[in-house]
Amino acid sequence: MSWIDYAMAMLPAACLTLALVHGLVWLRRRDQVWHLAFVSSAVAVAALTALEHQLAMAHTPDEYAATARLLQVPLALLFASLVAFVRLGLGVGNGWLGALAISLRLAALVAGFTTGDHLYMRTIESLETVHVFGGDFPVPVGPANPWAALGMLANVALLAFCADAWRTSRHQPNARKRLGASLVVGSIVAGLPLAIFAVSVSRLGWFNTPLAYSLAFLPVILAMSYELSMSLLASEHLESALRTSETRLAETLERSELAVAALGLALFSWEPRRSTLWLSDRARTMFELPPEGPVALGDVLASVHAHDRDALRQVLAAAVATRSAWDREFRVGAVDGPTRWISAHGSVSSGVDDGSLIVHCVAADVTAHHTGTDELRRLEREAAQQRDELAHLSRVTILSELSGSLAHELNQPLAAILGNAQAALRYLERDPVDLEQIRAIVVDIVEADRRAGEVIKRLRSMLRKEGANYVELELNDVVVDALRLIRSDLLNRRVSVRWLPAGGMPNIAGDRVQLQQVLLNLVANACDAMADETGGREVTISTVRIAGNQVEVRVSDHGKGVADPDLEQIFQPFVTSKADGIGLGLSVCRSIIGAHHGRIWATRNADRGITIHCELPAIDSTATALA
Amino acid sequence: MPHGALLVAVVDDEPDVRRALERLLASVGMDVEAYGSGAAFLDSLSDHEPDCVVLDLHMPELSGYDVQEALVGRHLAVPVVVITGHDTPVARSRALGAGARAYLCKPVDDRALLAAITGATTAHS
Repeated sequence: MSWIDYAMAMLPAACLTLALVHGLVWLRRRDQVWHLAFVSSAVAVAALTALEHQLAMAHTPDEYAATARLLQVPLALLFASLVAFVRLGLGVGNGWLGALAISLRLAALVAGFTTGDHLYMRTIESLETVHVFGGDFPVPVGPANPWAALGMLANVALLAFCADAWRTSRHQPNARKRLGASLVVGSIVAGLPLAIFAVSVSRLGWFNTPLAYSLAFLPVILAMSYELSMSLLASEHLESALRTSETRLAETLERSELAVAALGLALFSWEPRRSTLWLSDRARTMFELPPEGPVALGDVLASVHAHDRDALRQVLAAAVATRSAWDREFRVGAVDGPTRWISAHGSVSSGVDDGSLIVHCVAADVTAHHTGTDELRRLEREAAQQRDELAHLSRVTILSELSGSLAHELNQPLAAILGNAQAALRYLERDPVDLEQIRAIVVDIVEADRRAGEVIKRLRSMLRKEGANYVELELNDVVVDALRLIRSDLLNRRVSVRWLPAGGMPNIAGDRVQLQQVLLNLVANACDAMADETGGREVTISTVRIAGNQVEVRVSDHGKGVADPDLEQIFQPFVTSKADGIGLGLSVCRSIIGAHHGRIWATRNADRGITIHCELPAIDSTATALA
Repeated sequence: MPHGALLVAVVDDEPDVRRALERLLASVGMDVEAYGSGAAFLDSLSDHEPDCVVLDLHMPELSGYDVQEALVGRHLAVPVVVITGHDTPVARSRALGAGARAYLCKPVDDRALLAAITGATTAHS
């Protein structure tokens, strides 16, 4: 036996083994039909090898012709399988060229059986023996069959198909696939001309090669097998990577669910197009939904407080329309029953499968926070109310202390009115009546009446028990108004006032009555501090504009000062140096100035006494604070 | 009432009140001199003395008490009728103690004031 006999026995076995392997793969992966294409290619090459071996053993022209005709069958199968593999497995090659190659090969198959003894020879007259590759092989002798051109054309068409596939495979982005395609298509492009050449020379009788096709296509089978194995390995690798990432995803999901549960958060996802809704267990509890079973968005909205429902629906619709993130706080529960506040934050994304929109949402129960805020607001309201009440009480106290002076303030215009009126009566009794004099008197009466009215108005506003009313004010006006109220008292106490208003002061936002009250307190305190002074008693009041859009009013005395080393003590409630005081004045002043977003403090003067400073924000910087 | 040419000084820092008193006294035929401060009144005394002074107690700088003290200090026996808008027992006893002939409260009735002035000038003469 020559090496060719061994090869002829081994090659089909190798091909069939590969076919078996990929056949099994195909059975597991029916969608990967290129494995089937490979199986048929390998079976075809095995059949070709076996038939070519049989051809080499032929003893008679008839035997030779029969085998040669049969050989066209696996050849046609091989062509079809290769075209299918290149198209389906490698994704390259021109379909029309492939179809042409297969059609021509099928035509050649038909011609092989219907014209002459076989495709290449009209009649086989005899067999000659040639010695090649260390063995003797029969070579047919006879006239050529013109239909042999069909076989040649089929070969050329397959060559063209493969050349085109090779060209397009170079644009394949994946390097591994590009290499695989180049190997398979390249092996066909290299092997097919070899087969054509071998068949041609043996046809011409120059040189006979057994195994013309099988040897030419064996590298193709190996290249295909290599490509399939590589892609199998790559897909295995991909699958393993996918499994790993799936595991990781599951772990991440589990962790985030754990975190979400620990934070008491609820999750839900809503797909508007499919009207599907997924809720976490916590979300079902939050929206008072059954623990299991399908739930629609309508069910969730139904549990939302009726007053908040439409707003939430609109927010969701707007989020879907604009594909934007959203935030919303709403209540859950019946209108007449207990409610809980939910704070929800959501985003909109496109689904992985078909790009349909999904609204993701995370929600938290913020009832405690709301209750806390309500409680805080209530406490703040109460504190403001108490501050106003205390301010009123302190105002009444200081006004009662000033009552004698205030009566004097009122008595002055009344005295003028009465004196004028009685004088007028007397002038009217004269003959002739001096009408000019009467007119002048009446004008004075009207003016004095107006003054009395203003005093009463001022007193009434000071005594009124109302919450603070913040309006735009000039600090200098506030000082002047306060000085009017206390003027008589200052006269009584023999205290003079040095009033140094600053020009161009910005306005402040404040309650006129409460700020006057602060000024009254400060001036009264300054007078008290100087009660024992034997020399001239003087209170200096000045206003000043300071940096940072603030204004300040300062009230200075040169009295006995403060014994306590800590000047802050004087602002504490119930701290007083007066025998008849309760020590609320300055602490009330501090709470009033504090409510105006200002501050009040004391400093010792260089010589004697103290100065109280009241700093208040000017209108620009308070506009938002008071809004 | 025979007031004749009785000269009365009115001392009050409030222009309205001062003017009203001036008119009232003039309407009954008195001669009236009005002063806005105690100092202005005391200055005028070097030139002539009125028959009576209607004196407000509460004034800046020199108060009614200060004017009373100055009169005593200068040994001037000008009769004083005090009128005040700030009536307290202390003020009343202090003013009367310092020699005031009458102590009246604002707003003051014309008859009471005229009677007080008449009484003061009669006693004085």
